[in-house]
Amino acid sequence: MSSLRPAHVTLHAVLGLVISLGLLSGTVQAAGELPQRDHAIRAKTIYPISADPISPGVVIVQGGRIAAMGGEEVVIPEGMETVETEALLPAFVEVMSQRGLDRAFETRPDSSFIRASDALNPASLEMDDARRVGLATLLVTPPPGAALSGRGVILHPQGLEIDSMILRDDAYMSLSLQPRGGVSRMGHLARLRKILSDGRRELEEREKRDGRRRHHRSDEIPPEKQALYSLLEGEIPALVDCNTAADVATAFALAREYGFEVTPVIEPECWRAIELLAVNRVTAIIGPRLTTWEILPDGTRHHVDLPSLLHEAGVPFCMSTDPRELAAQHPWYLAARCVRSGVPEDVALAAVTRNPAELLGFEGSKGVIQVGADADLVLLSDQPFSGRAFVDSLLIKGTRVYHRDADTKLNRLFGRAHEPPMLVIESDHPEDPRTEDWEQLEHDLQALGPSPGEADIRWPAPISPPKEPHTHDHGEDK
Amino acid sequence: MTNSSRRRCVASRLGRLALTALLVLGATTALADDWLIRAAHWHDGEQDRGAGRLKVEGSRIAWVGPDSGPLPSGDDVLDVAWAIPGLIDLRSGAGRRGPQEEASEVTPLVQSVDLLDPTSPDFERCLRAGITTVAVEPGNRAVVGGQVSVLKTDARPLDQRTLNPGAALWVTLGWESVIGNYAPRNFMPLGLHARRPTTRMGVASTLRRALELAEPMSSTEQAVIGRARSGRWPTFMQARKEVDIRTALGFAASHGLRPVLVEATEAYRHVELIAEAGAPVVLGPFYGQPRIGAEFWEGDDHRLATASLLAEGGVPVAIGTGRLTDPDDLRTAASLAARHGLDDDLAVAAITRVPAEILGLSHRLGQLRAGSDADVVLLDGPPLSPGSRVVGVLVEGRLAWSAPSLLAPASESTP
Repeated sequence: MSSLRPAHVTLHAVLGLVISLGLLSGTVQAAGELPQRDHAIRAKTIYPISADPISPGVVIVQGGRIAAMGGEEVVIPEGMETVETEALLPAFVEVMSQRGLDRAFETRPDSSFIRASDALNPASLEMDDARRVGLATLLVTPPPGAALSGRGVILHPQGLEIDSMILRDDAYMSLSLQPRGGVSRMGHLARLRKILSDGRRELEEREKRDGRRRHHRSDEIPPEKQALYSLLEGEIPALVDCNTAADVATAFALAREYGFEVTPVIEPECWRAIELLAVNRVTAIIGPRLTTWEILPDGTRHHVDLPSLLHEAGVPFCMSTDPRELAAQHPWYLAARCVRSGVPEDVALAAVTRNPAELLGFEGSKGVIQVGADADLVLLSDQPFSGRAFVDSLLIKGTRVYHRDADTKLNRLFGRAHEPPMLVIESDHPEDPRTEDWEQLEHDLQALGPSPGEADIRWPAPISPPKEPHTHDHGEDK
Repeated sequence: MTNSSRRRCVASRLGRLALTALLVLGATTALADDWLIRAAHWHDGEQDRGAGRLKVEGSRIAWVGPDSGPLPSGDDVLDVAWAIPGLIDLRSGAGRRGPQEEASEVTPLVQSVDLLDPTSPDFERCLRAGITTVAVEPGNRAVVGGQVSVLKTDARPLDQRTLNPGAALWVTLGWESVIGNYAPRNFMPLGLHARRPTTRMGVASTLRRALELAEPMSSTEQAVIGRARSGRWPTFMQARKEVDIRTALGFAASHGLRPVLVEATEAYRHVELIAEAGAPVVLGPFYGQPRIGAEFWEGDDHRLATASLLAEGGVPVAIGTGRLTDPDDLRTAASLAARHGLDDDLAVAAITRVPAEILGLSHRLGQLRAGSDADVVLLDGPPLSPGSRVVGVLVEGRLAWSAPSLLAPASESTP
């Protein structure tokens, strides 16, 4: 009946081997630890973020840091490997990311004791994607599912196990003001306040009893309370998830009441609280959704474009990507999207580089290209606002952790050439037997004559119901 | 914040006042809606024609030409960086209200225009993104879902801006129309979903029965099927997976349909077949990140280069949004298609000329040329650059939306 051609099987095996070897080598090159090497990068345009763009420009990387940078006057040392690129930017930084978290969604109201680093999967494809889009530093937080959702972790999305990736653990407390699970907003806030007040009272009792608030020997503090206490002591700041303008006010009220620092994560609906953000001198985190509209009392529609409003009010902001979106997964797209709202290009680029880096405490070392900063760099194939840039290479501290040529997934996404070959099974029936049936059916249908009402069709006039109901009789039959 | 937004409101009101004044001025001369558009670049739907002028008289484009010679007086001049034809979104969700129709598997008379809320802000959002024409689907919970309606997005009453309430027949292949269906079993309530198809095979057989008029239908409904089978009326066929595309093209060939493949996530697997069938493809939406070999969701297994592979194979490619998270996604999708290898001019054509051709409205829409509808999008940068902004939108000669910055230079240059 059917026979499997040996030639095809062999071809398949050989091709499969070639492809799997290619995949393997790609993975090794893209994900393995390359030896750190000193080199120079010559770019058509350098976007240092801390200064005006330089074009053309040269950056010299030595010992994982930027040793020199500038225009063409920078002398590249003899024998140093030089890479050419179209555009050179500091590697992107993202706060409020959930990349790489494995089923992390805690719903106990007080989940302050959980840590994002416990749920991180270094092998997650989202870590691959993070490198593919040029993200070198991430603050991964537990998603806001509870009043206190736990602590985040700052990491490089590169490594075999989580410890080698972490820059700082227990970095931020994630707070949510959104009621969940059938609780009203009042009930949710009451619960949040109760958790915070209980924590504060315990701290005060400790102080009364022992003469000091904190014990640095961890065995004296219940482990599930450590995170809450450090929030209340102002040791870690809070990321507060705000969906409405009222939430922003509540966030600042809580911060005043309980003495912690607040970084609001705002939706476009929070636009009425932008003045409050400016007065409190905070950096806002905005998500991939940037616009909304509402009906004003006079009946007109007010379109809210969050980046331009924040920029006009002088509020610095950071932008989070959406790994599930084709465009919004790219930090350069988010920056271009800001420019579309009317934000200047340098401010837009700072929202995905310098601002998040400063928020995470890497002022001067990440998110900028300047002498002495970490060589966390992204080499783009085109200018960042052209809309067609690819990340050619991503460097973290001078080590290349992503290379587009070795990115087998991306290359495969580009077409059919990389599809695995299919087995060819020869059939003894050259024709699909169903085809005959179809022809027969077609023939039968034609024998029935034109379908009723077909003659009345005029195109492109819309169909309107006929005034008289059609009858099903055909003239010839009767 | 409030100050700045108040400023914006005032500015836009001033803009509107200025516009009204201009219109009143214009009305006293002769024609209410005459514009002269001076663009540093204009794209006519075929290619970038460089600097040029477009004359709008009434609701039509009177002439197009190079940017030379003195400016005629008495016209309202719009000075812009880029002018392109009004964008057409073939998969718009604009104005949809309420659930989808699922009374039966075959509902050919359902017209999506009846689902629309004409006052929906979606239309304004579309306009601001440069989308002047939308095709709205009747929904994909039935195998033969009904008819695709085509309308403009400006603020006129719905009946005035509806171009064609039944521009094409809508057919859903694959998995989406069987969600929730179940085979009747013991202790299961025999509800609406109990006896409908539960598999791809069932969907295909239902479609076949419908096309062969074997499903219970009224004569008017049969007439709609007959019209689709006449080959003069397009049939939009949502077919995501390879097998669905094959099925769709098979039915089109055997029953004389004029197929338009919609979404066609896996069209890259069948470029030759689609080209042979002469079927245009409407791509989009692109659900998230491609997952190679994914079976999780029908839309997951797309390729970045699908649009360019189809174009290389000679298939006309259009792009639609499919979801109304942000109408700007239409331009973004075209821009990403260009990033992934589609020729720039074809990427612009995918949201202007090609959709107009698919709808059979190329004499009116999708191109900037003398005699076509004066649907023009004015931009401050190249249309495929994600940073460029829409500064003004003309729909049939009327300035349907404009940024406050647009009219300022124009009012200065008018005498």
